[in-house]
Amino acid sequence: MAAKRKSLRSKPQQRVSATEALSFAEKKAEKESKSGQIPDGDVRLTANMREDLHMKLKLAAVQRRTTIGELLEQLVEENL
Amino acid sequence: MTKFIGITQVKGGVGRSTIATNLAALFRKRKHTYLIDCDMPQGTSESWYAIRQEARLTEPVEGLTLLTASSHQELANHIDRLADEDSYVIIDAPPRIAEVTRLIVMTSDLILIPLGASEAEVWATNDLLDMIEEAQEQKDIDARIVWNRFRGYTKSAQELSQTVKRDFGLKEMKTKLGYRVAYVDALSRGLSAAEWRGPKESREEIVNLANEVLRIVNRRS
Repeated sequence: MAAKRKSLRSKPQQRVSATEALSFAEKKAEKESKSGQIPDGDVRLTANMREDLHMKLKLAAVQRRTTIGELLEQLVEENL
Repeated sequence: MTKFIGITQVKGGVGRSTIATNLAALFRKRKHTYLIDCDMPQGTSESWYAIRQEARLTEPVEGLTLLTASSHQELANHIDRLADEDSYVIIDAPPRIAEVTRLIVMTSDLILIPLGASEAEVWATNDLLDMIEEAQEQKDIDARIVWNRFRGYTKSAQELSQTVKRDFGLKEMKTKLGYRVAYVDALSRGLSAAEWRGPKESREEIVNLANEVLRIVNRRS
């Protein structure tokens, strides 16, 4: 488990507009995140696709309770 | 004043869209609600809304608007435009630390961090917590863990819950979402668990979570 974190300090509530928050949003994180790395044995695929087919693919993935990547793997295995 | 609720976690498949869509479906009964899907092109929330529309369930779509944001600038435009309305905005964040997530953390009135009772999900949360601590230097951030797929009867889940509470310094929502098929069934049909004919435990859980979120955000001026 990570070392204990300091408790988040309490400050008076303030609303920050999105325009004001952009400078924070665009600041690079000091620590590079490892999230989103490609698992060993996998490759990342980028492809153009017709919009209606992409929606069909997304809906199929949700309805089959799987991800687009896994659904594509299954389709390739079955058809190629 | 519009209230913004961000659902964010850097690991995929932890329940961000499940929670976002369920809250959106319930909040629309109180005030007009916007659901912003920022996980494009994956777009699970967008797909859920499309299924809801396709089923021609006109009543459940009323009062609910789906927006998408493929960039942080696009999200910023949505937020600035909606800020002066009297609505709820649920933001389904992408599963990564990026400009969009940083913007969500800085502009939300409440941030919900879904967390399953597994070491892997807890490890993945560290990057997000670093960013929240950084944001806290500039603004009071209300970020809370939402235990999801929680099997509270197991000793490991209870121990992990205690450890996280002690070591993360974050509050947690009182409502914990159990490990229930009803959530998946409802999502795939464009419904919320409260609308789906699943067990009453799932309907009660999600209504309790929604009410708890509303109490928190409506307390804030």
